[in-house]
Amino acid sequence: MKSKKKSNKINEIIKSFKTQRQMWAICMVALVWVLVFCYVPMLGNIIAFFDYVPGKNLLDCTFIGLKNWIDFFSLPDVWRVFRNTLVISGLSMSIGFVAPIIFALLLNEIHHTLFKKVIQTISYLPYFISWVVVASILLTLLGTEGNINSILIYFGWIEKPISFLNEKSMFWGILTSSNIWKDLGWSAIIYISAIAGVDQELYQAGSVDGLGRFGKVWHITLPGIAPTIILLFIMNIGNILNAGFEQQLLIGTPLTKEVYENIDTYVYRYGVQIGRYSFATAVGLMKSVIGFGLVVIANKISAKVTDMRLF
Amino acid sequence: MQNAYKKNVYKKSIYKKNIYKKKVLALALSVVMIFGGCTKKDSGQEQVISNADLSGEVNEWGWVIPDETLVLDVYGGEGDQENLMKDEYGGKAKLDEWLLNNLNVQINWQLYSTSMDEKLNLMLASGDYPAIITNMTNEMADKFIAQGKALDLTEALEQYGDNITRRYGDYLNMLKSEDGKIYKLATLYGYNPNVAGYDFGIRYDYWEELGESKMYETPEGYYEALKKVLENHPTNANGQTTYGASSTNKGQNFLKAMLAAYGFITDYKYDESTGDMVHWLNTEDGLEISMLVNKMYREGLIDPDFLSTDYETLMTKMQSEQILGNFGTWWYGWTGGHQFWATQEAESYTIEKRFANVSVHAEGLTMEDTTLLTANYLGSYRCIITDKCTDLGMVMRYLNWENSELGNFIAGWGAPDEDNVWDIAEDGTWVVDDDILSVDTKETTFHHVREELNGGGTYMIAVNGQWMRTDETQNFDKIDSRIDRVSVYDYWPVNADGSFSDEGINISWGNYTAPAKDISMFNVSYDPNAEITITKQTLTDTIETEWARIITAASEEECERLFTEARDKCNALGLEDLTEYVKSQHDANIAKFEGK
Repeated sequence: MKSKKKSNKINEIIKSFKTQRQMWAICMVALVWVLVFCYVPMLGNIIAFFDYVPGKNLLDCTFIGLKNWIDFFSLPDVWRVFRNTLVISGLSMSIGFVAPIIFALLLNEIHHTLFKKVIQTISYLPYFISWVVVASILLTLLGTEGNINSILIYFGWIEKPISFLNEKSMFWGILTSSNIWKDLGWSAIIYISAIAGVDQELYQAGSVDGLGRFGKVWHITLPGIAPTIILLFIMNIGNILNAGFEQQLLIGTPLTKEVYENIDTYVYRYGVQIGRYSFATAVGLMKSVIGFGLVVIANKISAKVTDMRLF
Repeated sequence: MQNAYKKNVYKKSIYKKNIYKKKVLALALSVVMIFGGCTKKDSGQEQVISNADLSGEVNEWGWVIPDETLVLDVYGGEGDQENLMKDEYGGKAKLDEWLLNNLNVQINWQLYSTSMDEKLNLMLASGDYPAIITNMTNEMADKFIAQGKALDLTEALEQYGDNITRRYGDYLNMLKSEDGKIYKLATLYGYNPNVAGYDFGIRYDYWEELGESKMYETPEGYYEALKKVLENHPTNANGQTTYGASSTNKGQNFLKAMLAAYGFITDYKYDESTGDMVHWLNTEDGLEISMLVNKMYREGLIDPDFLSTDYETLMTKMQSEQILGNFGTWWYGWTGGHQFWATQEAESYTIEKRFANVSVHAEGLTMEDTTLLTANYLGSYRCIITDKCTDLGMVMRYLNWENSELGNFIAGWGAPDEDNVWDIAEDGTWVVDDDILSVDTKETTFHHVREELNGGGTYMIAVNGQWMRTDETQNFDKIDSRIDRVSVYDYWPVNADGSFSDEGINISWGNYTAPAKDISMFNVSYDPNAEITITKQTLTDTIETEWARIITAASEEECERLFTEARDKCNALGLEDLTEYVKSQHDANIAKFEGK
């Protein structure tokens, strides 16, 4: 019975190959690329379990099992690092996830086409600016002689300049704001295209039923793009332990290290910089496993609650 | 019949089991062979020093030309390979031609834009590396040595390395591995030719306005002078507030400069009589240093944005005269000062408008006690000859030639030529072009001509890169007496009495009197997998944060409290263990140097 089911499945796959061979031919290049550059390198994760020395045969390296993870969790400040990672990615996922949706909804309400296109174009230009440039912009704006301090002093709201970039209490806000500014337009693109796919007749029906602007957004637009929102959320939740790297190194100072240091910057210093590649690989593997687990859980919850799933 | 059938079935199942076992065994053997094939070659092969015929006359360059062209494949470090090969001005090609015609040597120099450590790790992992690797860190050299990829140079040095052993002197012992053999050489080693090191610099023209008869000699004197200069010049021409100093490395330059003025060597105070070492955090001097720098910050002498400033921003601030002092790296005062103003202001520029590099010493110490200017004879970079080398003897002969006085000079300055910055006179003197005696035009008359038009500095494998002077290990009497402090990169024109011929240079360095201190014994290496390396990294991070907090403390009391907290924190993290380790490395270096 089982083997009959299996052979049916195999036959289905073979049939699909035959009927959609052109599609398979197109996809084959991408599939091979993914296999070679994404899946095959995963085998390298094995060095996380060894005391790997580049150039040495893996079998000649000492097998250390879970020692790298034990070392990681024994490092001083590791829990502070976890806290920072979760806070920064949490802020990014909460505010940073919602902002593009709100922006897309607002943009959708603009009827003047030219104006709308200009705003949209301007909004996703920051995405292409590197973090090095963004850090320079932030320094120019927020430095003690920056524009913000100059304005505040000019209007008499403060007497002495505020060192924004050295204040621990402000770092998360600055980081989240700059992340949103940089990614808002680009992230909104997918929502804008999802909104464009909502049936216009629904809006007409809504008008007939007496729905106002907000009513239409709440009852028509949002439900229309809900699948997109949920699927993107499921995908993003896997990045909960990825709280950025360049922005912390560029914008952070020793006075804000307590709040900017995350897993990536920590592992960079304690792994890559001092040549402990096994250690760095082990932490990376841990992050990937946790991220994957969260995606699976989120997918299952979504399937149960909303009947929508990524896979 | 049934028994026969059963017997047959049983035989078949045994047969199948045997086939299965053979398959498993074959698979296992294949896997072992695959992995086994990835292991290094049997290092039991005897190392052949040289197959080259070494008979022949020594030519005018001190070299016996081989019958076959000696081809050297070298990984030279980080850089732009495309730019190198483009050879816009033809200097590389000119040097290549000279090497081929006069030495029958061809050097294939390879650069990569990626981090050298990362590239070397990839090379190790893939087994794809050239015969010579230079400009690598000591740790990476040791990695190659540990894996048997670096050749033993001991015998080759004895046979062909007389110039190398002469110029290294006893320092060569420090390159020996635990087995007593030499597997690596130093790159750009030698005595520091610089006049200045850590700097307590100030705008000379503004200091002159103060009417002081004598330049300050202590950190407190520096603080007083900077304060007065800032009082006289509170804003620059753009209306921006002026400061005495800033930083590009989160305030570490202030700390390093102050520690040097107090006689600390790489964060530690070393007592020669007892051999003891103590970290600056565990000394009263450390507190004194912290209080002074904090005072400078609180009184507005330090740029409040010093924690976020990078090199370009600092240069802009110095060049726009917003920063009126130079606290840390001496040459920042040059690139951010007179070298910029002299070209930008041309007609109106006066030589007094520059940052004077100034050396200071802590109260109770003399200038000789400071470590403002240090000399690390072996430097930080190494060269190895790998097991891909097919003729160690010939390679060593070339490196030996490179370490001859003439070879060293040619490696740095290009071949002697009337179109180059130097040539060999009839009496044998290495005469320099008159044009290079003007410091103001150095960029065009020296650096451009030497490097870009004549290939100087293109191929420096394991050469002495520092002061080419006459002493017990080397003889550079032939160098034109009109220049001094000559290295592979630089020189300074001097008068007959040895003083600098350029008045501007005399102003820049006239107040820098700290002698060079040899800190070669204080080289410390860290094994990436050792516990102490983690301790060191943790402490480095902690001290960086704590130092920033100390500098920016709001009051003297807070500064003292933060210092004490930092001390306690670091001691709890293993500062004393690290100090012990540094001391043990120092002692080991001395033992090595003495040949024990």
